[in-house]
Parts: sequence; structure tokens; C-alpha cells
Amino acid sequence: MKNRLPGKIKWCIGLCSMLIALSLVAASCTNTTITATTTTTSKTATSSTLTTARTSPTTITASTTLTSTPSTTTPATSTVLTIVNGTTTQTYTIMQLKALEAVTGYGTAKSNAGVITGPDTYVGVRLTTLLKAAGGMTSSQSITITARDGSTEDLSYTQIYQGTVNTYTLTGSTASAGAQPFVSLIYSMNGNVLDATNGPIETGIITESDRASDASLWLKMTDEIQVHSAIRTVVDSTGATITIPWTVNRIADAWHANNEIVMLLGGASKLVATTTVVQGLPWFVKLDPAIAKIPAPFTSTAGQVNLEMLIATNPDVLLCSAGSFNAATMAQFAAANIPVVQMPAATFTDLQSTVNITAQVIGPKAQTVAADYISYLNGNIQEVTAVTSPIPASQRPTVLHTSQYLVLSTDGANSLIDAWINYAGGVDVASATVTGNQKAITAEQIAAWNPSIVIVGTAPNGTNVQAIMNDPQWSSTNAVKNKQVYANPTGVYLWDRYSAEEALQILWAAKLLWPTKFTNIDISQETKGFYSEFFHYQLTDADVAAILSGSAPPS
Amino acid sequence: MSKKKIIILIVIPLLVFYVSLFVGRYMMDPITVLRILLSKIVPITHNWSSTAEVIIIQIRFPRAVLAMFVGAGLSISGSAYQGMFRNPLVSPDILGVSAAAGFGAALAILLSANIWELQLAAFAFGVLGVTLTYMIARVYKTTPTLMLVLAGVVVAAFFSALVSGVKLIADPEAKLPAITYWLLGSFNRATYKSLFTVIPIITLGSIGLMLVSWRLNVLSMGDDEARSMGVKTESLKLFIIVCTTLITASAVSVSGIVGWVGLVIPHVGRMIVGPNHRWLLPTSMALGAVFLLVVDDIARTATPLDIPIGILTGLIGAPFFAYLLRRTKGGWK
Repeated sequence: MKNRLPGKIKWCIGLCSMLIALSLVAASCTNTTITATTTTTSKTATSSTLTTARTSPTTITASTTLTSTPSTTTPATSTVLTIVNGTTTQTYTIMQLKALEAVTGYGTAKSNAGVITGPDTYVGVRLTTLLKAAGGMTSSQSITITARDGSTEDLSYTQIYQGTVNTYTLTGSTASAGAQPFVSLIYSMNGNVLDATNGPIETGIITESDRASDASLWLKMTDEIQVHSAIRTVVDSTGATITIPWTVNRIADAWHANNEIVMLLGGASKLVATTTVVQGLPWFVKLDPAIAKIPAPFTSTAGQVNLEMLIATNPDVLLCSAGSFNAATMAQFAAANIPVVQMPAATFTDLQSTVNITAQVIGPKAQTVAADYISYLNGNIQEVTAVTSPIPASQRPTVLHTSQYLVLSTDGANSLIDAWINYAGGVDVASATVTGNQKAITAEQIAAWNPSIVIVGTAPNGTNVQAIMNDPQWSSTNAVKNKQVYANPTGVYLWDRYSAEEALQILWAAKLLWPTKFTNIDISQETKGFYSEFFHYQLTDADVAAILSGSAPPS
Repeated sequence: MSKKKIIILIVIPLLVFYVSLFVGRYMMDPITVLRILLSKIVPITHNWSSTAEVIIIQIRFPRAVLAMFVGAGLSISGSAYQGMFRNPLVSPDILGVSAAAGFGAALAILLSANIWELQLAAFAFGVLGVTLTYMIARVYKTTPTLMLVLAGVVVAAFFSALVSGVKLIADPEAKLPAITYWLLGSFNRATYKSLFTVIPIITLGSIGLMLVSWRLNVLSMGDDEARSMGVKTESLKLFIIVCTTLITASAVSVSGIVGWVGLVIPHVGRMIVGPNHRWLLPTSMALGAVFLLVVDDIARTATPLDIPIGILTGLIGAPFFAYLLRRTKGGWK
């Protein structure tokens, strides 16, 4: 994969954040008094620190090596915990924490699989104590706790202040904790300081009795606590401002192609409801087998939903393409308190805003990926159009894109397909007279258009190419005479419409139409690189060959 | 029926067929069309493009022929059924053949079948649907008309539900449009191969119906009257059902579901030649052939898109039927 834009920017971000981290460490090192260090910074400064922490995980590693010396003990003068509350930033050294009112008790974690770890005796500081010192929080706020390795944990107001967390007996059955379970920042376990893999600070639930709590509420290597609003807003493509939880963990996606974009942005594990169509996409299931097992309240029939099935998945947000659901169904979503974020589908600009809106919904890390993806997409468009735009219309090959499966259909003006045919240096034969996607056309019209290249979209491609080559009705077209009939690649989603793989489609089409002008493009390598960077999946040569011919994964 | 009318009924379809070959999105002068057609019979120097030849020989010709046979087949079936059921509101799919054939086709599309498997599935399910209807309607070795109609409603409803089920799970980018489009009917899939499979069946079925046309006259007076005149009503009914089912199922298997033709055309035929089936059946065939041919000319010429034929027959057929109803004031001659 050609790493076009990000290189220099990554260096800049890296350098800047190193500087900021160093100065922070230096500031805290000079302060050896036991009282907590409170710095009130301007809003911009705070947000830039946050951005740095998000965009560049490497910086955190750097600061870690500075704060924790090779020995297991952490110097008493190093900052071990940062609390950010609005414009207030508060840092603590281990000594400062120990000076606060301590809580001692038992702690036991129960994993999703039911594995019990503990009980152990812990000493720490209640989260409420720390929050009080940092200006407190209100019931309309929630917090995010971040660990040095980048993992996070979210806690609501009631979890912190009313102890509304699940507690269990040591055999794993649900039981009341007796007294209120305390979310605490732990610095001592069974009388010892925490080792480097757990500490110096760990978030956990300390109970007065021997009760276990969900392992998801325990966070090793706790680094930072951020107090923020419990909700945030996203502006969707209809211009509506949609209120969603600050941290979105459960996504329902009614738009087939958008499921791939969620996967691209690293949110596949957050999908709790999908469509039957997505579950039938062989490459999607191959890359993310879990997708086949989650509920699918949406089918191929647009606008339909199994509402009860959807509600049962308890989604934080529902993603869909603009106008998918009628007013009555939207009212049902509203009644079920499911925020609906709509996104546009028609053009390449729409594809970018869909990626951006989806990323905003998923969270900050996804936004970084979205920026990388969009710069890659635009890079490809620029690379291809720089070569193709000088080609006069008269020299451009005439292209017909058809989803021929028993019905002859094509895509005309105002479609993504028309757009990439133009980028790639071709003329869409249908665009002059046909507008929109997948319009049924007559065999006579195809013969009259006489395309010089035919691209066949949608499975089963190989058979469709053969069917066209052997069909006497197509026999007069230049494409058939010169054997210029090609299957469109199909990966996680169809490359030709709506999907993230449109970025690859542009390169593939350019190379197909103008092989001599794009000798620099190796579509196999490009595909492998794309899958590796965005889907974290290493394709074999056989895999790439299958994708490029529009086939299912080789078994 | 006068000789003049007979000649008109033969000449007009042939004339319309001939004119249809000149109509299309690809502009050609009539002389070229004529030369291309003649070149298949007598040697003529080729001075036209291969595109022109493919359009005339491979696309327009089979499409026009198919439209004529489907129109003729559906209309004769409709006429025969309206006589047999003694009801002017009956169409060829009264016994569930279209709904069942539609399911066969939808299932074939869902299973990524090719066009031949699709035709076979549509035909087989069409026949299966009518067989089910007949078995449900059979009581005490007779098939009362009312039972046939009700059983047809049941079978049609059942297969329509299955079609909806298939549509619910079909892939929306390729298969769902294919199913939806197929159910609306089109002659876009006409090839010589499909002609050779369908024409013999429609011809055989039509000959069969013509052979019993005078018995149909007797049957249309009522089962008891027919029996008293020595007609074996049960075997006659079964024969008619077999013929119409073969015709309709094969028509639906290549063109999808084309509505209204089998309902409206028999009425027009009756207005022209009266209720005698001996004349009504061939008249309906000629009218149906002309009607679908003209409608298909509109479907493939009006826009670059292929307008589903079912939409046009409905748009034209429904208002025309309303006009007929007003004119006859509900009476049926």
C-alpha cells in the first residue's frame, strides 16, 4: 500500500506529543509536595493533549517508559494518574494518592465466560473521593477511564455514586453486595504494590463483603480519568442533530454496505444487529465470523425491520442510509429510544460523509481511521484522474456496467458507477439517457450503444461473463467481439457500489481501461495492502484472485 | 362469421408483426430492415452493420414472435376458462398457475439458477400449483366450479406468500430486482431457444382447446345441462384445465406474469364475434397476439429502459375493462 499523506503528519504529531508529554512529566517531577497538583489550562491546550493521546498511542508508551523505571517500584514523584474535568486537569503521584482517604476490602472479577479471579485484598481510593477533589460530576455526566495500553472503560453516574453494578457470589451466582460496591483506584494488592502489568494503578470494584464483580469493570494500568457529558451529538445527512451516548458500544446497522464501513473503522465488534444480506456475504463472514451469529432484524426488503428483535439487542444507535425508514417506523424507533443516524449513498462525496458520520458515531479512534481512509480514497482519485482527465471524450472507451442476472440492467447518470467509470477514463454509455441505479434496459438498447467494454457486477460473476460472451443478442457489440467482458471484483462488499472498496475499484477500473497508462498499479498488491491496513487481514494470492474475479473465498 | 372477418383476423396480426420489426430504439431505415429479413431467404449483398443484423434477427424478431404467442395463448386460455366457469371475471391464473410459476421462478433466482433452469422451475411449479388446486377441488369424483375457484384462491395465496418469503431473503443488489422484475413480466429474455421450447406447447394446447370448442359451448350452459346432452363434463373440464395450464405455465415461464390480457381480450372477442367458442377462441388468439405485440412495442421503444409489460397491460387493460363494464352494464352476452 502506498502510504501517501499520513507519513509527515504522523511524524509531526509524534514529535509534538513527545514534547507535551515530556513537559508534563517535568512539571510533575518538580512538585514533590503531598497535595494534589491542580493545573487549570485553557480549553485548547486540554483538547490538544487529548487529541495527542488519542491519535498517537506511541506517545503514551513513551511517557510510560519515562514514568515507570525498569524496577517494579514506581518513583514516588512520578505522575501515575491524571483526572480531566472540563478545563481542570489534576495529576497525582503515588504518594499523593496514598495520602487520600483509603478504602480497604475484597475484590473479585468474574469474566463473561464465568471465570472467577480472586478474591484478593485491595487498598485504593474511592473514585468519588478523587472526583470530589476534581470538582465533582453531575448525573448528566459520565466518565471514561483510559489505560496505558489504550483500552478504556466507561462508567455512568449511577454506577459510581449509587454502586449500581452487578455483583455475584464467589461461585458466580447473582447476589447483592451487602454494602455499596465502590469503584476504586487501587494501588495495593494483598499488601504489595501492583506490578508493571497491572499498575501502578488499577481500576476495580472493592466490596466490603466477599463479592465478585464484572471483569469489564476492571481496568489494568489505569492512566487517565476523563469526566464528560454522558451524551454527545452527531449531525446526520438529513441535517438532524442526533443525541447518542458518549461512548457507543452497541451499533445496529440496517444499511448493508455500511456494515463494511463499520468494520473498516474498527467497529465490527460493536455491531449487535445487522442485516440478513450482510450475513450472506461470504468475504464479510470470512473476515468477521461473528457477524453471522448476531441478530439480523433487517432483511433485503428496504425499510422493513423486526422491531422486537432490534429492541432486544439494546442498541446505542441505529445506522441506516438516508430515507430508509418511513415516518411511522422512525416514530417507533423514537418510542423505543433508539437514536437513528442517517447517511447519504449516491456519490463519492456521499461516501466520504458516510465514512465520516459513521466514524463520529463509533468514536475518536475510528475518526483517525476515517481520515486515513478518506486520504487514501482521494489519493487514488487524484492519482487516476491526473492521468485520465486530459483524455478527450472521443478517445475514451465506451463502458457498459451491468448487473446482468436474468435481468439486463445498467447504471446511468448520478450513480457511483457512472462516477468511477469517468474517473477511470471511460464513458458510461448509459449516462446520456439513463439516470440512477440498476435500471432495466432492452437488449436492443445495448446493441445500439455498442459498448467496447462490459463490466458485469454482482455474483455469480464468472457465469454471467460466459453467458454474455455466448449470447447471440450481445454478439454484435465490440466488447464481445474483442472479448472485453469482465467480472467486477467483489470483496467484503461489492466493489462497484456503496462500499469502502470503491477506493480499490477506481484503481482496478483505471488499470482495466488504460493498462498502458497505469503500469505502476499492481491491483493485487494494492488489495492486499488495503485489507492488511484497514481490515487487519492478510490475503493470500488465491484470496486476491478470488476477490478480483468476484468469487467467494477459496475453501 | 363472415369471410371478411376471418381474413381480417389473419391479416392484421401479420401486419402488426411486420410493422413491429421496424420499430425500436436503434434507428434503421425500413429498406435495410427489409433487406436484412430477405437476406435470410434469398442471397443479398450485405451492406449493413452487424449491429443492425443482430438487432433485427436476434432481438426484435424473436421478441415479437414471443409476444404474439404469449398474447394468443393467454387470450385463448382466458376465453376457455370464462366459458368453462360461466363467469366473465375469470382469467387464466384462476387456478393459481401464475402464483405457483412465480414462486418457481423466484426460487430459481434465489438459488442462482440459469435461465433454462428458471424456465423449467416456473413451468413445473405452475403445473404443480394447478394439480394441487384440482386435487383440493375434487369431491365425490366431481370438481364443482365453486370448489375449483376457492381451491385456486387457496393455492394462489399460498404460493404468493412463498414468493414474498423468497423476496424477503433475496440479495437486494442482484436477485431481488431480478425477482421483482420477473414478476412484472417482460419479453426482454426472448431468444430462439426460448421460442423453440414454448411455441410447441402453446400451439398444442391451443389446438386442444379448439378441438373441444363446441363442447365448451355446451359446458357454458351448466354442468347439468351439458351432462344431459351427453357431454362427459368431468373429463372435458380436466382436458380444458390441462390445455390451459400447459399454455399459461409455458407463457409465464418465458415472459413472467403478464396480467389482464387473458381477462380483457376474451371480452373484446365476444363483442366482435359473439359467445360461440368456435369463433371466439381463434378471435381471442388473434386479438391477444396483436394487443401484446403493440404493448411490447411501446415497452421497448418509449424509453431506453425496458418497461415491465405487466405495468403497461394493467395501465391499458384496467381502464378498458372499466369501459366495457360500463358499456355492458354488467350484463354478459
